[in-house]
Amino acid sequence: MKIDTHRQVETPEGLALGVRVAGVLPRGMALLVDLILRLIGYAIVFSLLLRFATMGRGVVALCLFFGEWFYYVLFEVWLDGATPGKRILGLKVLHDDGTPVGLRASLVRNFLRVIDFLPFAYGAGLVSALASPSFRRVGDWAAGTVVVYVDSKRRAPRSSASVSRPKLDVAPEPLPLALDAEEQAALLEFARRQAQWGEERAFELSDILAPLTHRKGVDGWKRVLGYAAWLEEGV
Amino acid sequence: MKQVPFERQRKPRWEALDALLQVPVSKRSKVQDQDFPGLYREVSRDLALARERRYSPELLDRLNGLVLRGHQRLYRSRKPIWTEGFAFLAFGFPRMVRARWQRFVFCVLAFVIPFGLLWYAGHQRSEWVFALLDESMIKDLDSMYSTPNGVDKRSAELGFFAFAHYIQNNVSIDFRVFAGGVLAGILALFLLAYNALVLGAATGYIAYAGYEDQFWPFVIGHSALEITGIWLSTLAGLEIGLAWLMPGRKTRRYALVEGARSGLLLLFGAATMTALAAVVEGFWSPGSAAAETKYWVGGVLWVLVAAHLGLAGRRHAA
Repeated sequence: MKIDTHRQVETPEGLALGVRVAGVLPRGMALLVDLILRLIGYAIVFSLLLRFATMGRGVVALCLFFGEWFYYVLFEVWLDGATPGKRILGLKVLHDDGTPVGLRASLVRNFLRVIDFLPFAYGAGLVSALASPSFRRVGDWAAGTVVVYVDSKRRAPRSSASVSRPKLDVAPEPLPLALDAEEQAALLEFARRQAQWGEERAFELSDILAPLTHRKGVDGWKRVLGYAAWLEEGV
Repeated sequence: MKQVPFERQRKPRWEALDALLQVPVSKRSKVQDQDFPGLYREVSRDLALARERRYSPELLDRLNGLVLRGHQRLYRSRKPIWTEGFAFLAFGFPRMVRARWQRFVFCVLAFVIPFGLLWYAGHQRSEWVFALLDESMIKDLDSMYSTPNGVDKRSAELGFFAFAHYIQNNVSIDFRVFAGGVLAGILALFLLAYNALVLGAATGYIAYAGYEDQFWPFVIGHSALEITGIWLSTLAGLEIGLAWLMPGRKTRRYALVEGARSGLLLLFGAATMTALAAVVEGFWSPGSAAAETKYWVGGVLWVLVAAHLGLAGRRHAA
């Protein structure tokens, strides 16, 4: 099995969009945050309402009912697919076709928490999530939903700005021969990753192309970067 | 086209889409709405092109994020749910139940048989009923039904408390039964039968202790809605469990999702009945009407529930 959290969703435009599904740990933490928030809410409601004897106890019963069954649903459906806990952890719920979670799917996935909770502390949900490639608990299976990261940058540290292609003052140089797409991509990738390795390694790699550049060391390296710049920007 | 000129040329459109997506759904204007689908498809095409031409991962990431956000905005669901609700309860729901009548009869039997056995046991003064009732339950039954006015002294405030309590308790049972159905229906049936046993034992104890004259006028009013509600939530649970157990020509996964959707509709009907039962139980059942009146009302409600499930919605094509 390929272990990768990157999933593709096909859109009606015929395009495969990439999303990153969230694993068990961040989801567990979101769960914990939501639990704490609910407990705080209950504590406030209880301390206010239990003074009003019978009437207050009735309202408390209704609060408990709605809090336990509809807390997740309310936030997921009307606040952009995320409960406060998920929002803090940068997660949100989507249908598995990439559209935002709707009322029905949200109801199904959250009512089935009863089953995911079995035998205690989300045991079944944990097993189900670990056994499925998209970390689905039982409720996710039945509702056809996935939990994804909102911001894909969080999960792809290498593409952050600090290690992107440094601005090298290399003049674009036309390639002496036609390269196919794969080779062009390799050349561009080489130029992009300069900041990630030391000089020796960079020269060692550019020396591989010595038959093409007729140079070794710094000169060869510069010329390879020149080819890459030409591929990227044109002359 | 090389990447840099491509970026330079297309960037205004990407920024336009980004700006449009920053505006919350509630605050957008008509003009923006008309622009949006075209803009979104343009950027979709840009992403496809960029991928095909193997532009840099950073650019692809950026476009992917942009299109994903657009996708979620464009294809968000905007079905009016609440207006459909009433029409569903009136016509669609009974039709759905009738389409599953064999399963429904099975649920009824899975309740009636254990219930009837224990009730009969109590009636015959058998000690069996005590196997399922603990002391606190017996004490509650004693305090509620041993004197004629035990159930009658509720004020409106107590009525509201009872209503809220029954909502929390009974509708939660419906939801749990529904969720329990996903395990091939077994947990749903178990919860149904277990509730039937406890209710049967309680009713049996009432007969055993001779409280029937206080008990039946109290429970008959809400019995139709409450008992039918739990049958129907079991039916909703079976819908999910049997969907993936017997998927027919669908994949199990797809069958599960479909079963959960139609099960949820059944649960909506079932939970509505249970909530109505809580209203009756909170405000009518403890009232001071004559026992005879209460039997009449209870009987009429049974007939109405049966007629609704059996007859409503026949003329509306599925």
